Amino acid sequence: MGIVSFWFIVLTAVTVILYDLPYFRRYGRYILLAASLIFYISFSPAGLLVLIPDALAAWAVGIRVQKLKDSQNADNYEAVQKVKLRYTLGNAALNILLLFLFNYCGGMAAFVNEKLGTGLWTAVGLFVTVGISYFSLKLVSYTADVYGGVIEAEKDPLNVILYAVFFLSIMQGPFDRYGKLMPQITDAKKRKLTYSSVKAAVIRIMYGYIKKMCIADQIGLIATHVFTRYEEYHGLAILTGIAAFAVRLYADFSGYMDIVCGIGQLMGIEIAENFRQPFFSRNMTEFWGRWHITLGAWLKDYVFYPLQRTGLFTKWSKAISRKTKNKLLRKAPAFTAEFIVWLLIGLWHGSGFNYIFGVGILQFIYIFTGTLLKPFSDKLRAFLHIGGKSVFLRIVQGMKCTLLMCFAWVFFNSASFENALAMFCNIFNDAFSAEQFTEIFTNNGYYPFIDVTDPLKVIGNWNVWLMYILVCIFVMFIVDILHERGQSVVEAVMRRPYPIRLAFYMLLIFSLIVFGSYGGTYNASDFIYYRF
Amino acid sequence: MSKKTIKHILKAAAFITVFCILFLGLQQILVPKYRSDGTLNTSDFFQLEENSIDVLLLGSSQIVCGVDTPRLKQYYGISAFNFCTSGQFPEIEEYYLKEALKTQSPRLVICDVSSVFMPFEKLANKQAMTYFYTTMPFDRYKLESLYNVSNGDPGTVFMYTFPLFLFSSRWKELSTDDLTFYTKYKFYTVNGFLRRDIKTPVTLAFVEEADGEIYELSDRMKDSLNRISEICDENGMELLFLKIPSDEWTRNDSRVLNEFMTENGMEFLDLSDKITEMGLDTEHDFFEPTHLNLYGAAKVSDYLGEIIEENLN
Repeated sequence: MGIVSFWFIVLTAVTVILYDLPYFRRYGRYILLAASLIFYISFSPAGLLVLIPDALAAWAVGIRVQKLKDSQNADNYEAVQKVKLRYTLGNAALNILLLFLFNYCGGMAAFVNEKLGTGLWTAVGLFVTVGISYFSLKLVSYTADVYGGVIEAEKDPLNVILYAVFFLSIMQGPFDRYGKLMPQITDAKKRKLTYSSVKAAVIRIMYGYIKKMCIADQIGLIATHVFTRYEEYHGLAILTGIAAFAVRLYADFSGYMDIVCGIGQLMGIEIAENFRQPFFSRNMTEFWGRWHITLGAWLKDYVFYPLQRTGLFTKWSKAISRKTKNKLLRKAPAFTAEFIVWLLIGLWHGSGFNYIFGVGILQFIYIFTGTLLKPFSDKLRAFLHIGGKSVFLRIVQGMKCTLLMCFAWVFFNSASFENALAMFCNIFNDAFSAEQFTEIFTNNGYYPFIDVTDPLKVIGNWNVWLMYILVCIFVMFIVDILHERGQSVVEAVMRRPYPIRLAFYMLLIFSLIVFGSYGGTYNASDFIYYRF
Repeated sequence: MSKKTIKHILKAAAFITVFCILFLGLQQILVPKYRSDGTLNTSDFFQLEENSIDVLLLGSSQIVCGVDTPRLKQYYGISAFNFCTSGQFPEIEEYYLKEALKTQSPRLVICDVSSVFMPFEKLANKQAMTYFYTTMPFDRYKLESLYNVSNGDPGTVFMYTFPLFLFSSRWKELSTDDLTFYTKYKFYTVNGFLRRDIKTPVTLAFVEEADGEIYELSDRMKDSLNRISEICDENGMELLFLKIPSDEWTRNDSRVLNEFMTENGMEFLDLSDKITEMGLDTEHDFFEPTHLNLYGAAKVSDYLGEIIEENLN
């Protein structure tokens, strides 16, 4: 039951209606729990054997830590603090172990077996636990927040289970914090639902589906085609494939977020935003504050800052501060902590080195280099008399961030690190020509050894299709510009007379029907971040 | 009722109206306008005057190419129509028969049996389904047929009931013809007959006395044939099952079907056995191994015309 499926729409509609009916107001969390369990079971019923015990363990740890906290006084403060920390770290270790077992163990064992000829267990026969990359980290954040006094421990275990399995964030996030999400569900008075918010929510959901089905899935055909057959392409073709993947990833992921946030809005629940016009970033640090926001925030709050507060890092900071006045060297502990965070982000995406490098180490290199070069770039701007608010500068900065991420995403989307490198080599092993671009569409070859027709055949008249894609990218860009300027397209439309609003609704509906990718050729449930 | 409520009702009505108009309009534009496979026969059928045909022909493209209905009219005074589509098999013939009886009262129904030994999954493929259903009107017969042919799959029923969803991706291939097609002509075929002027020598298994493998009629196929027979009985129509000569049809096919027809009191005419009588020439009367050209169709139609004339009069 993917999010782009008839049964998901039925499940959501029923859930929203029941949840919003005043009569069922006090059963809201049970309705959401039932819907979440149904949604989860449709993917991975066996996964509940991991999720529910894991959630119960986190709940139990939270209760224990809360009891310890309540018994803390000036006399036993340190001792109790240590015990609390042990419980919290124990829960974190449990979740890391589960993540390792279900996500990484098999791949790593297969790698070791291949290189060293060993016979390690490659997790064959182990059932799939969908969403473990998300619920495990959410449960760690729950116990960490109880430990840190951010929230009180939850007395009702069902609430913790709901938090872990919540159907709007189990598949692709966001990493909502317990203290922000659950009070909206458990306390009916906290729900913010109005007629206007419902209309805005429906439009947002539709926009999300349009981004997913009309843009991501369409342009994804090119991206997948070029990435899987990169040996046959050169120059402009590869660059086109890379650009297509960047658009696809953004439209796919942000489209999903629009859908889940919109559904949350329909129930008066504010889901954490995960995107904020990332391609308008001035630098890579800002980019990661605008892209997959909640993952970065999670690692910052639960890895980066705690690491910096450890005895080791504290002593190191003090030692360096004593020994040198060099600003950069004094930041060494912070950079080290940041490197560890990026390593973890890369690892979270996958155990392959292409992930660890592409969305891990490379990002750290970008940010570190950016910090290093900042004084020089400031001087250069001053020399060229380019003000900080210059539109030209914003465009250049945005393009720079986009290009850097496109480069990184080649590793993210390639089957391996070596494949990514080979792909880059293919860009330059032939002189650039326009035919390299058109070849993607006209080279209707076949997949050797695989008895399927070329998916690109669904594109048909590629000239028209290409114009359509360019229009879509332009529209997404304009919408993002408006959002960046604090303007809401939805609010602007809602203020117009009904005929204009009606035309807008019809445009959304029929864009989805006519341009949406569905039917036998497409796998509409194939969101990119489902695989994590 | 308050002004606000009335306003809401009007807005809702406007929404539904505009949606329906746009939906149906886009559907008309995006559904493909097939030309050579007999889909247009279905459109033309619904343009006929009520109760204007004596003979209704149902079946696949073998009938479309094999029975010269204008010739039947011209030389035998028989009004006939090939209400056929490519790959039409008995379950679809049954559906088409029900649709036809809404506006016509033929005295004779002729049903093609060329596909009775083919596996159902092959017959009910996506392409064939688009031919069967996209130009047919929305009514309970269509829903029933879709439900049965898709084995109760709601997705399939939905997609073929609202073919806009099936053909939405054609937006990339639209031409001016898609916008003006239905405004150009009233009829696109002449009584559902498709003239083919190409001559291709063929070898007919039946003529070569190849017995071929013995296939069994599936229960599903038998049920369809029986239901067609029941419908004709209920409506007081004569029924004739017909096989147009084609390359793959063998004597065993003919024998097995003949046995079934005889057991169930149905009339079956296998024209493969009448090739000499009809003067059919395998060198000149086919445009491809499974379809007659207009010369072959003329001979078949003359043969049929005499039989029909004799039996109806």
